[in-house]
Amino acid sequence: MLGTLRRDPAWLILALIAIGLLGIFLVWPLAGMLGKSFVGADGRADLGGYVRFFSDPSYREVFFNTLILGAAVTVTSMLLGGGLAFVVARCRFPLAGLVTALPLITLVIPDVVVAAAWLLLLGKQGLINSWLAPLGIELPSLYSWWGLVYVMTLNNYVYAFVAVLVGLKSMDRNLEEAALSLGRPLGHVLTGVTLPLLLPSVFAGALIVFTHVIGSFGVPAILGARTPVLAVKAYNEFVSEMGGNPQMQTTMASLLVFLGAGLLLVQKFVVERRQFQMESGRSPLALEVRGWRAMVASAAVMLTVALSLLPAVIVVITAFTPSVGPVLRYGGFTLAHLQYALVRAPEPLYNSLFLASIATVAGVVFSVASAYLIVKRKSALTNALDVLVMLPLTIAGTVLGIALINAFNTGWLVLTGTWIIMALAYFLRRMPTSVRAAAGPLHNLKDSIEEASMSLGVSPLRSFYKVVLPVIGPSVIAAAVLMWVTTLSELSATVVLYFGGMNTMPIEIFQQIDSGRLALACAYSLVLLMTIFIPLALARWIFKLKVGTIE
Amino acid sequence: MQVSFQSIAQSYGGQQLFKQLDLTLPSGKFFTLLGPSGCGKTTLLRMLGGFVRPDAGRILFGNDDVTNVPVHKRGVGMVFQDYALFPDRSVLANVSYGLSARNVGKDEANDRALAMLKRVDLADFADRAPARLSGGQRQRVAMARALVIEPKLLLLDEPLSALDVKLRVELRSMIRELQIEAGITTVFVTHDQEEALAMSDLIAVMDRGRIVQLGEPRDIYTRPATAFAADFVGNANLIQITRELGETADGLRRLDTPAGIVLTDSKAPVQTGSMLVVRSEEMLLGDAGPIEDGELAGVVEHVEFRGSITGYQVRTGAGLLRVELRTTQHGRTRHRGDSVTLALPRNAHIVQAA
Repeated sequence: MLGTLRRDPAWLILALIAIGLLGIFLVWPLAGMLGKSFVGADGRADLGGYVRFFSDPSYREVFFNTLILGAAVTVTSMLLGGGLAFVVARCRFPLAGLVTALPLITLVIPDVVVAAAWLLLLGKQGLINSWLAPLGIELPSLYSWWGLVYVMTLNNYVYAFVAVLVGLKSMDRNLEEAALSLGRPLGHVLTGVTLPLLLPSVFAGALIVFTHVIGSFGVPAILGARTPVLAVKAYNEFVSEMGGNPQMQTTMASLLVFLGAGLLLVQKFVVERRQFQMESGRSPLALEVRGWRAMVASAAVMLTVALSLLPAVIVVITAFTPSVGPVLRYGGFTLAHLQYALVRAPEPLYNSLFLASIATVAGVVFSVASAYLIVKRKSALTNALDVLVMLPLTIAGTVLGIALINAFNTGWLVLTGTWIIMALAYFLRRMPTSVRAAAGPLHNLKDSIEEASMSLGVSPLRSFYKVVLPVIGPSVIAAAVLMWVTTLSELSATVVLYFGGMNTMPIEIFQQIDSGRLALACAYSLVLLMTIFIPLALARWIFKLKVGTIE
Repeated sequence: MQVSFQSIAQSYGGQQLFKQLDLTLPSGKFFTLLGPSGCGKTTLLRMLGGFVRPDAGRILFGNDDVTNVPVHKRGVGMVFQDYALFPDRSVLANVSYGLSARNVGKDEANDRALAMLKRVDLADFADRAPARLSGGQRQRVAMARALVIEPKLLLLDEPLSALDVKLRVELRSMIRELQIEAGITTVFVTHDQEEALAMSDLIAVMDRGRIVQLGEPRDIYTRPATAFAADFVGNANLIQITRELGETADGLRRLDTPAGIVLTDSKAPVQTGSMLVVRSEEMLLGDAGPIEDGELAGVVEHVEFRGSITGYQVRTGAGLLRVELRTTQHGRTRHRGDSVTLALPRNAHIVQAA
């Protein structure tokens, strides 16, 4: 039950503290919210919320919109990301190396910035339409299904790409060679041997994308006026709480939780069970591609990378472009927007930096201790911790925000309307990634190193500090950088939790887009990009840490 | 320091490993726990180190009950199978690590660490990173690191099994010399019977959580207590005894086996399941011919020339028997398919199936 925790009470206490913290700040709010969804206006337990949700066509539509959007973006992301991964892993051609930049690009450019950029480019008053107008052509509206799917695919395909690429790289070359040597043609080998082995990675990637899409707020809130989805609808219901229905708000948030939990179960019991252990680490050799095929492949890679990078370019240009009201005068140059974002109204920058710093420090300390407990002190207790730590991955930011605000607006602990609740949300949302990052090197670290230190007379906690921490140090710093940059771009929980005077940069961008001031949105976006990019660049190129790389 | 286990009980995942284990290790001896994987030898060692708490029972160092003393307060030195050197510290820093934890001044710690490194012939490597040492060198650093804190008890967890054969032989004599010199009670865990026989003062042969036999290496080898001990130590041939047939004129017991009649001076009783232990090097190969008591007829099934020794597998009525003969001493080389006569020793030992 307790494993080696029984031997080292110091770690047992830490494990209990970690579980206690997550119990109070994660499980309790979620349970409270789920509970509320089953309580009617008269205070009695009923299923009214769910009955109404599924009988009222306007709510039902929201549910199906969410599922359809999730499925559509998952399919397109798998096709784009998976296809790209396959081509890059198995073929050699010029410029194939460009794809290594993709994870970094995705990290650096927040979703809301991507949405803003594509609005500038493809929106009704966008650049492309203004060029096409004299010809009497108009692009279909970006505020539509295709616009949503297009922008969200560009936001998510990299997750599919990384999942499939990692799967392909861990493939054992000998398996294919064995099949070939047994007289099978290459085509049969790829479909009969390689593909089945790759399926777990494909499913894992698809699940990540699907979870992201159904939980995402920024892009559907900006582009999805005509196609409401759960995360946005729950938020709207929440904002209009005075007139709205608290049961409906928690019902929708709970539905998202059930969806996420269902996916987690699928992941645990279907996908992970099918994971194969590969014998040797030698991945299959890439095939040299020449001639027109190489040109097509290079062009495809270049196009994908360009499409991913384009939002940053647009944002940089627009941030310096003069504007009169909502109309942008491209070709001109002004520092006014940037001056506004940095000098006249820099609060969002300060707020973001402040909250990200707090959440990162707390998150890294917590993550390192939790990762150690989960990896090195396996027991029933730390297994429970493992489940709790990964729970936030399945919970949409909006949902977490609603749960936290409901739990902490009255009672013994009031946090609503303070920066603490925002930092708490960031901590909870980004901590799972940090735990994973810290857990990686711990898996490779032998228990005996720590045991050697203890046998030489150093106490368990000091042994951790003296011999374990130095070994996993670089990964911990990488995890901290990752936590920092992803926290800066957090929008979906913030939108529920922020209050007057506590605007963060993504909130400011979101609001500026909403009120049509795209140039200002771009100025804030540029500032946000820089706060994310600079630490990442330092970590990666100066300190040689693995952040935003394909593992 | 004498070390003892008293009524130790331990289960893993509902499986009981130790039930009521008692064992005393005499002071200053090199004590080996020998057995196959899963027999509990490593668990016993880790209990001494403090890494595993027994479910019940006590562990005594001298007269002190240390059952609940945490690892870092036990004052034992431990050498691990995978060396467990701190990768981010130099060789010298590795060796002085335990001294600084004991508040020994930096200069003195370095002096003592260096002296210890000299003792294991690694003084010239003090500033190296562990990654730049060979396997044998790393294990010597680990030895120095464990010994420099002058532990009351030295624990060796299969320290040689990651090394190649030649190094293993070299290092085992060095470990033994260091142990004798320090006069320190040492517990060594291994599944390698040759290592156990070569290094130990005392060996405990273990099987599934029980101590099958406890004794000096020579006794363990020549007088195994059970079929398991005979088989595990020295790879003996075990011949099923079907019944006792009385005595010969010169006082040897005649025993019936599926392969023929054998003779022995062993005094052990014969019950159902009793077996005769015949070491492969104790038999002689002769030409096929009329069989007398104490001889078995067989056919050579496999021949293996191994340099100083030639190994045979001979099919008999009691199954396949292994025979090993010194290449220089035995006469004619036999070939696969040759019919032969096996002459058995008269002092073969009788054991009971475990």
